[in-house]
Amino acid sequence: MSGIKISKPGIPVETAQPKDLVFSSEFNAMKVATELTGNVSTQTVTIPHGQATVPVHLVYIKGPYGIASSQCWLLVPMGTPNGGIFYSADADQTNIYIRRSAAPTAPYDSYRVFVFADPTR
Amino acid sequence: MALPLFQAGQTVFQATNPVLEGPFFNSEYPVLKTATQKAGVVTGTGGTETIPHKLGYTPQYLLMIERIPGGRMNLVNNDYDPGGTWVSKDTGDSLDATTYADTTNIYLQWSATSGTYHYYIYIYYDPVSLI
Repeated sequence: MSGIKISKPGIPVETAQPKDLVFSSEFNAMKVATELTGNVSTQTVTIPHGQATVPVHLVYIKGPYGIASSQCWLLVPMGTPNGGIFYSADADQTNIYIRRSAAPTAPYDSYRVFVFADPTR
Repeated sequence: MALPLFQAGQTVFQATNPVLEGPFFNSEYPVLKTATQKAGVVTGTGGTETIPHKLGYTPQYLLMIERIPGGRMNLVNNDYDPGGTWVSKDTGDSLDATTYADTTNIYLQWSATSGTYHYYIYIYYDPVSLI
C-alpha cells in the first residue's frame, strides 16, 4: 500500500492510531475550496460558491449586530443573547445564503464563509 | 519555531520558510481525518436520531441537514437554548435541530413539521475528548 502518513511527535508512525496522526492520505481531509468575506447589508445575502455540488460550509458572523461589545466571530446558526438577532445559513447547488432575522442597518455585521470541496449529498 | 517535518505551500513547496497562513499543509498542525461520512434521513415530527461512531471517545464531527424536506443543507449547531426554545429556525423552515456527542454515539435531536429530512455527517478520528 502506498501513501503518506505522519504521526504526532513521539508516536511511532508504523503503529499510530488514526487519532494520533497529524495526516494520513488514507483518510479524507476537509478541503477548503474558497473563503469569502463581506458585509451583511441585506437581510438575505446570496453568495455564489462555485462548487459542483451542495458543499459543506461554515459561516461566521461578527458584530456589531446591535451590541457594541460583541466583536467576536460566532458560528452560524447563532442568536445574540440580548439583541434578539438570529442568523442562519444554508446552501444549494449554486449559492450560500446567509439569513438575518431582521433587516440590517449600518454599520453592518461582517461575514466570513469557508466553503469546502466536500459535498453534503 | 522548529521547522516542520513536512510542509506544502499553496503554489510551490516552501518547507524552509513556514508561514502559517501560507501553506496548505504543515505537519505541526493536525488536519481533521474523516473516519466516516454518510447520508441519512429522519422522518416524522421530531425525536432523537442516534448515530453510532464506534470510536470509543468523543469525536469531532460536522452535521448538516435540510430544514425543509428536499431543501438546502444547513450546519447543525446548538439551536436549543437552556430556556427550552428553539432559537434559529427561519421563517419558512420546518425543522429545528441540535446535536451532541458522547463516547458512543452522535445524537441529532430535532423537531419538525411532518416530513422526511436528509442529513449528512462527517465524523473525524480527531477527538473532542478521550473520555
